[in-house]
Amino acid sequence: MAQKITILIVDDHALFREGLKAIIGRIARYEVVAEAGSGREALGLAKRLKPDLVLVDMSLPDQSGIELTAEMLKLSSKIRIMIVSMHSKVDYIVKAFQAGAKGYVVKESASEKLLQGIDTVLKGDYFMDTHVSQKVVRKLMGNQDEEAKITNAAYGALTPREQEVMTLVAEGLTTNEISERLFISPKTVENHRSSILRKLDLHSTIEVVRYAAKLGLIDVDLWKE
Amino acid sequence: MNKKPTCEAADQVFRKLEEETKRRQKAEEALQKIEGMYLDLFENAPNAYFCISGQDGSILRCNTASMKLLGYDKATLMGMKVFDLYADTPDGVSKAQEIFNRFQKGESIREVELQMRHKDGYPIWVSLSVEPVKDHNGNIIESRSVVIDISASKRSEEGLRERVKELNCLYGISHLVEKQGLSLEEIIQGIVDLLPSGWQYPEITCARIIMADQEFKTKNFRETDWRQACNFIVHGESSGTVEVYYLEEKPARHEGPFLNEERALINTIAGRLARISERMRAEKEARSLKEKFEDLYHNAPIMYLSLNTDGIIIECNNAILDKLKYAKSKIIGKHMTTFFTEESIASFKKDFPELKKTGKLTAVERQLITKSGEIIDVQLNVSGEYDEHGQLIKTRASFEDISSLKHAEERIHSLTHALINAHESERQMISRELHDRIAQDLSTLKIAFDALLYNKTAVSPEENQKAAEFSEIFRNTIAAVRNLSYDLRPPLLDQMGLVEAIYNFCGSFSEAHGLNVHFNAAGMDNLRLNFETEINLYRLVQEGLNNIRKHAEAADAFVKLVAASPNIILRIEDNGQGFDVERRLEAATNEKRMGLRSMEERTCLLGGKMTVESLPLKGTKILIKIPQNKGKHGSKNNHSDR
Repeated sequence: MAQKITILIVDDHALFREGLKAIIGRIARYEVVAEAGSGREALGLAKRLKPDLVLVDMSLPDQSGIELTAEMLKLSSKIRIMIVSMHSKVDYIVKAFQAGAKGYVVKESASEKLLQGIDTVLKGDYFMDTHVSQKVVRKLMGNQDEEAKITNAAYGALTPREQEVMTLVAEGLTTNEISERLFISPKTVENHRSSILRKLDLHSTIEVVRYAAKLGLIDVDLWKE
Repeated sequence: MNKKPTCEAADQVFRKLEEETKRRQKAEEALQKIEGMYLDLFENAPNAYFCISGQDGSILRCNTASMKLLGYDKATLMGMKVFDLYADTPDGVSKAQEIFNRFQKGESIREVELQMRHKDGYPIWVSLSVEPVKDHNGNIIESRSVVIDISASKRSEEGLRERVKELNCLYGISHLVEKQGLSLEEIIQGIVDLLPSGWQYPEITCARIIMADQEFKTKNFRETDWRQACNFIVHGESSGTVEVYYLEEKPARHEGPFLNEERALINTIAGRLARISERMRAEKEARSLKEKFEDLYHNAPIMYLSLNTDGIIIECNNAILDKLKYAKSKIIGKHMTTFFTEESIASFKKDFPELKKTGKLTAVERQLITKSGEIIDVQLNVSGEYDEHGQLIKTRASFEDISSLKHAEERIHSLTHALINAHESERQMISRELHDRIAQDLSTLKIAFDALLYNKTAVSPEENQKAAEFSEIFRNTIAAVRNLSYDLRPPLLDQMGLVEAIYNFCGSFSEAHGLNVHFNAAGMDNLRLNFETEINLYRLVQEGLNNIRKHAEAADAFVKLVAASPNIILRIEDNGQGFDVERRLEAATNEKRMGLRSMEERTCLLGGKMTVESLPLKGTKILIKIPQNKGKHGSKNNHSDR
């Protein structure tokens, strides 16, 4: 018989650990070698026992599951880590994977998905609970379009100073006035100005004003006409 | 020699006698002629001539003019003694006696004025000259007396004297009236005391003035039968009487013993009194107005400074003395800004040209410093006083202590902010409880429950079916609790950031309420905003859109979120029906409708500024500008990292 897969469970809820243990116990070649209620405890155990797989809760009393994941992997890059968490937020999931976790299961799906997850991860694949994976994919897929719709990447490329100068230009101040207002030389103002035009692909003050109005930097008050 | 010299001599003497006689006759004729002329002159002279016996003063001769003067015929006069012709006055008989004595001593008397008496009894002023006529022994035999009637000039002289008296009396009155610092009573008493001097016989004249219910009298006042009086009238009604009485009977003149001119004088004085009382009344009113004004000025709860056109303090009231704790002398003469904080002085310098021009400054907030260095927030109003040419002569600055108002406002703000924060942290606490405890515990229960029946052989398929259903309920409940937890905090705010969270909210808002919400953001990705800023910006969008949904009846709403270093700009606009901004804000306060107010408070909490512009049928524009680097307790709330 092949060597047993050793598993460490890290969760501060003892009863929940019990539950996980019970599920894992259904598979004979998996063995829960230890349990930990904190990140610190878990690291000590991992160092000593060198488990194949660690199930990590996202919320631990002393640190976050993401931090623990990173530290575990520093001990040994061979350790597979799967997050079992209450959280279903996309950026946590992303962060967990960025930290080196291979799988993510939300707690309420543990009974159904845990074993499948462990299997997948042990094979060297990534596992994501369908409950969260749809969300993540949808976000990731849709994001490019939506991002473009609601934000303006070009404007985002302006430095804070350039934003400031742009607002003042759009409000109709002259170079000298801006220079006095911001305590910088007219030359610097001009530099900012040309940088703004370049970054936003604009060619005149009129265009700057129109652009600023579109963004909401200034209000072109049509009511008063 | 001649033999007949005697005859010739006698003849010569005779002729001489004859010539002498003729010459004498001629001389006598001439003398008679002269005497006739003299008599004619004497008799018909325009002045009265008398010849008075040097012995006893009996009248020896008199002329026609003398009869005319005294009213007697010649026969009567010739029988009289000269003393009978004089009036019974100090200038009459006794003076005449004195002159007679001098005449008896041989003295010539020239133009002495005395009073004779007409046959009808009235006195006649005359000028008397007496030349004694002596015999060859030098004894005085008679007088040549010339009497000139001067009663006319005397009368006009007397009249003049009377006028002078009257004038002096009037002058005295004018003088009194113009004299400073006299009360009405003192003036009237002064006039009463002056009155007798204007009458013919001051020493026997007394006077009384009755004005309103007051009576003013000379010391010697007594009512007699010889009264002259005049009422005086102010504003068409009698306001008093002036009376003059003679204490003794005097010869009848124009009005009883009183002269025509005295009537005019008393009338004039009555007129004068009317004007005085009128003026006095006006002055009294002016004084009481002035007193009222001064009372208002000095005892008003509002602080007043009166300034000249250079801003120098020329007067101040009690309220400002109380507040600043300075003695009045330390304030008068100083420039108003002496009591301003640096900041207020700077603002005042900006105000000054306008103030100088218009003399006006309305409801500006400034700060005063008290003697002890305490700073008082005040609302300053300045208004100008102008002369008749419209030239600014001085200004009055009023300061209203608004420090308690300010404190109250600040307190309201801080309470509101505490409330908003409490509300937010309450939500977070509940959210955390739901997420970290309830959902956690439910998950534990579910996993335990799922494990319970696992591989139990004794379990019927029905029981397994039931267990699976329960498990599903568990799962859904946990998901619901978690979603609830996420909803209490803006979903996605932590996950995807503010822009994504707002975008998501706008999307679901559009779907749920049929309002087209157009959202765009720019430059926000690079900002590291603290949780407080993010949550409040998110809430501002929530509240703004909810207001639009409830009130605007708009088809479209526009939300724009832009980083405009050093600020963040949030615009929430709609094309709905619009409203009257001020009235809405006021009504909102009164009706406890907190939509706009709550947004204002949130903005204020972030150290920002919100402006609302609305135009009926055009829509509403809300502009919120908050600083990016708000250093105030902005630690990122990190419960979800746990």
